[in-house]
Amino acid sequence: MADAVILARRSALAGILQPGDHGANRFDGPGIHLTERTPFSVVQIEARADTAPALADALEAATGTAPSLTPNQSAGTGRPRILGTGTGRWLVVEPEHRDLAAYLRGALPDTVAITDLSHARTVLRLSGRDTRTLLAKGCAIDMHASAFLADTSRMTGLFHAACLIDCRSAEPVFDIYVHRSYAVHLFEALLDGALEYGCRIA
Amino acid sequence: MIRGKEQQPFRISEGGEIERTRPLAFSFDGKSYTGYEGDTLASALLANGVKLVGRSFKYHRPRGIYSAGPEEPNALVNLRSGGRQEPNTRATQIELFAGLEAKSQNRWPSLALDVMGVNDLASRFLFAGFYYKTFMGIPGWHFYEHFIRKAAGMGTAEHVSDPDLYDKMHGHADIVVVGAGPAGLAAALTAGRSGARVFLIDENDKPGGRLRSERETIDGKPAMDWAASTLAELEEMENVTLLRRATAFGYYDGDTIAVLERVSDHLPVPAPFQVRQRRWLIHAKKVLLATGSTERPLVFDGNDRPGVMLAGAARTYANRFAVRPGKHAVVFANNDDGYRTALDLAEAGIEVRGVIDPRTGGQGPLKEDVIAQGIDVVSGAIVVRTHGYLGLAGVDIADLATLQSGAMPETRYIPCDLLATGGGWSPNVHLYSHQSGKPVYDPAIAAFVPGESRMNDRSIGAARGRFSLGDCLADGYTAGQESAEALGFTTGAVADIPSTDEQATGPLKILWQVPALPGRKGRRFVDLQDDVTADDVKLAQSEGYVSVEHLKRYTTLGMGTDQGKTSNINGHGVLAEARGLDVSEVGTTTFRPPYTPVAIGAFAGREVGRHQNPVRRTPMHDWHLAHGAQMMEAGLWMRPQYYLGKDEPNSREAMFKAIERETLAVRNAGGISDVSTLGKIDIQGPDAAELLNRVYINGWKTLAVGKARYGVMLREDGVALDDGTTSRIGENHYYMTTTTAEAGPVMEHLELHLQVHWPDLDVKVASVSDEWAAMAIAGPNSRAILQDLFPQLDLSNEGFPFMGVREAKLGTFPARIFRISFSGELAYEIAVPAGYGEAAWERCLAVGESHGLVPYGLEALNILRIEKGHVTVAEIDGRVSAADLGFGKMMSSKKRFVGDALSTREGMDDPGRPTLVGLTPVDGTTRIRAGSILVEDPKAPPPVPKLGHVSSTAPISPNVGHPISIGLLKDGPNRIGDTVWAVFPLKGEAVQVKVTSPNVFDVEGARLHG
Repeated sequence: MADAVILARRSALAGILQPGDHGANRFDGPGIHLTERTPFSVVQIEARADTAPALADALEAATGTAPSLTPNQSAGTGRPRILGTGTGRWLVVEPEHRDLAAYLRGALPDTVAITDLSHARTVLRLSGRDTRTLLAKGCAIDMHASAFLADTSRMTGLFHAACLIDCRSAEPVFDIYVHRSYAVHLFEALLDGALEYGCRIA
Repeated sequence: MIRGKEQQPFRISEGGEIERTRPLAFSFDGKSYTGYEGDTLASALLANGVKLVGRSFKYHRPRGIYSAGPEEPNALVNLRSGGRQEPNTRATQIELFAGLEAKSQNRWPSLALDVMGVNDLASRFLFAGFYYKTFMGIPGWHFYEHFIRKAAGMGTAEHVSDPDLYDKMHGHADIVVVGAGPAGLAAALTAGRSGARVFLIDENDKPGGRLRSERETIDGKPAMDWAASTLAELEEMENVTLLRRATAFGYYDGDTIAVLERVSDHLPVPAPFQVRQRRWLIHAKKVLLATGSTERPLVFDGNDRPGVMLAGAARTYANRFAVRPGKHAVVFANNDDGYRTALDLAEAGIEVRGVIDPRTGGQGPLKEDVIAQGIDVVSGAIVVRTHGYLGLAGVDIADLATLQSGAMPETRYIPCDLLATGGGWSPNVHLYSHQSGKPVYDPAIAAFVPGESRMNDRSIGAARGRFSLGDCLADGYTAGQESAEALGFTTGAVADIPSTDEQATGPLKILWQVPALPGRKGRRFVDLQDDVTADDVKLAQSEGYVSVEHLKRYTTLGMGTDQGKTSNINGHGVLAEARGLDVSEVGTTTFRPPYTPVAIGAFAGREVGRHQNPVRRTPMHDWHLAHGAQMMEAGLWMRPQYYLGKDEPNSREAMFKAIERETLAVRNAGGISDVSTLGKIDIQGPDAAELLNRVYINGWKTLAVGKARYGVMLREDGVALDDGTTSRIGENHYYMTTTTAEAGPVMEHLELHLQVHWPDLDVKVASVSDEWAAMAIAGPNSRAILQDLFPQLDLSNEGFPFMGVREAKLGTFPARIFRISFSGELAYEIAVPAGYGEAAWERCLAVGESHGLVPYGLEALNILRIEKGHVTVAEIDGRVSAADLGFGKMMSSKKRFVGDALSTREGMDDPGRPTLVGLTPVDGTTRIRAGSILVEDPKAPPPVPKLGHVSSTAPISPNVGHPISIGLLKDGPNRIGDTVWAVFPLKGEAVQVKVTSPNVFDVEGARLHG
């Protein structure tokens, strides 16, 4: 009876995200492509401001990716990617393939606060022609390609949910990090807003 | 097309912007008509000879189409039907579409025969302030109000929901240009050429503004050719966004412009997935207000008769829509626009029977052109009266000087069905005024122009009183260029400003009200929409309403859907005359957003129904739904209220049965509840214990690793903020829990203190509320269940004592186990990473089944904690101290903590303050309503002294056997055993209650240890 059953992580969007084309059928194809990046590892690391440069060096040594010391700058192509979210504070993120938090605890000095947020965040990837317009529906910051550059990120509100928006490329490709409990709400708001442009869910 | 022509007797055979190859059928008051694509409802009605379109607000007088723009005071119609019905829509702003359905308003049984027209005969009783003087303050005025509102209302709303989508959008621009008339187009062009990000916002279907209505030229070609080529260039620019059918309705702080884009209003129904309207907030660095101007009426006897129309509007109908607004016209204007109008109407084939000009002399070129065409020009004359009832039949004119001398002048009757009238133009200073700009009176144009700017705005063209086309173009080119340069863009050489061939015009004659014939009681309307006459304004002034703001509220001048666009300045002019002052001295009322009416749906956007607020879901949400949970809102969260059995119908009886079942299960066997909504904060660093010591009232330096402690926090002002347990899970690592409601505020509290007050503390906090799924397993069998779940743990009281914390694997995934209890039972909380939450929950239930484990909802949870007298947000409500809740002894005197100083201030340490007590109905059966007031004697004469209130209530308590409540009662500890009354006056309830200890179940706490 007490035998352990191996169970996979369940996404907050399990059963909600329906692959296929939704909304307007545009002659030039869907304006929005939406996928969930799951399972995904998200670990926050934070150091006192005066030790931030040292931590950046240690992070680079541990991950092979040099984090930017400038907040709102992102670095790395994905395994891992490091997002600056404050002075001396970063999110290290990657598709789940190891216990990232445990790895970082082992690799970084123990003066660093390391918090595993992998299960606390749902990550959505938005791309396609109308992505910036869709984001502008729910977010008051400037989404224009000249204002929200590739490899920068913003902590902001999107459709009334607190989000971290990471611009992966000017193409545009954006990764949206939202608190898990808001994931269904945000997904529904994004899909609803995307219907007029046509939305393809992978 | 022949059919269309037959049906449109007032349509000119050629010209205009209409698409004659695309006739559109529509109906007005049930009768079918045909118009053309490019028409507005107003122009199509006029083309069909329909002049009577509505009844006025107060007197129900017949009214016709008065303008051709957003200022329309009269032609308000009920558009569409069913869920799409929209009352008070301006016929002048509705683009005609196939199948359009409109009805007139404010009439019964029909437009031509309106029984409320009797109000017109009783008009001498419906003077300014009639409502206040007659009904307010007398007994039963609420009764009258119902009938008055019915009689005086404007349109009616539908009760079915609107099927269309309304949406919101944010925009960001270097330069926002409002209005795409000549000034706006020119400004957008030069700004756009610099590379600046430009938004050009125009309320019409296509740009051009006033150019569409006039027969002017630019560079020797029709002015609209220039507009078309400018538009073509703008459309090629990636940095320019043109919003058509978009009204900038508000100018807010930070140079934020609110815009309503009518995406699909011109269509019968929106395309699939297309929105009907979109509300924009555009954040600008600079704002160019090219909002144009509005023509003022002349205020004369009978000036509201259908067939009386603004001169500029008559030109619009003739030039833009190829519609003759009448067959025989008289023009009455105090400025040279009168001559321009006469020329345009004559060109459109309308017989112009006279231009009545109150001015004498002044032979401008326009006047000469009119005379050259053989049109009768009467100088120094005015219209003193109109004839007709449902439509204009003719006018009486008379000599102004004779009338002003007090003599009775001779009058001359001119039969006509159109009177085009104009009193000059007023700049549209609305948006400028929204950001507290104070308009300044300019006597040269007898209107207010923008004064100093408070934000980064600049008014250009007619919006600042530069009415000539040449001035508008020059203003636009210059302002666009200068604004771009000020933002660091390079514009190169100054563009050549195109040339125009306008005629010189003479000055206007100020005529706020046109004198009436001696002895006539006819009404001269200042505000057509609100039925305010010049005499009403004078009456208000004589009764002491001498400020323009008071005048507005007393007479309703400038209220309604048009907000006085045509009436304000005339009204203020009449007031100024009555006071013997200049208009500049009486000033003007403040314009506030919105510029024109905005549907509530456009403000709501997609935040309707379930999406009014975000909904937060726990990791076990789907499981709850699949297993009979009836969900309830808890802040933004959805939480199970109780669980119904399979096929059990949801009724009141079933609800109480379920709650009882769950409550008994926890006390007798075991229950599991989803507590994932609790706030969770990860605290790391060598100064973590010091942080806890500073924010909690009790001490934290002695807490051992592997132990949890209950704590209470205060706000800075000494009032209780929150409670919860914090566990030490490592040397420098703590895990704090907060209540569901205060998770955000507590996190903010910690962040604020760490960042602002104690940056020296080496400690970091992170919200992990969403990282962990949490479930509470409570009841006498919980230890056995936990043992099955965690066979590796020693769960004895010694091995895992109360307030102990362990980390262990639940099957394959990590878990934290806390031996804490909210129900008073032997209980554990298990937290697992959220993605494993549902699996862990299912595992607990599978393992616990043989131990009688069942899920329980918030209702049972609430009853269990009330039995124990445990507090929640209902008690920690922002008004109580720690001592009020019985935590006075927890407050450490050995350290300082947030709120300690102010918790001892006068009043906060008053021993007579209401404190937490238990309350039991004396009769043992009557339920006590939460929110009831506690009083000594419910029959005492008011004011009845309040002793406290009921904060939480359990309608049933199967473990105690009767309803129970907790509340806060004055001098509580000394009242135990007394009886008081819980009254709820709204429902007329009074329950006699016995005061007890807050804890009425297992007072010794033996059950905690199993």
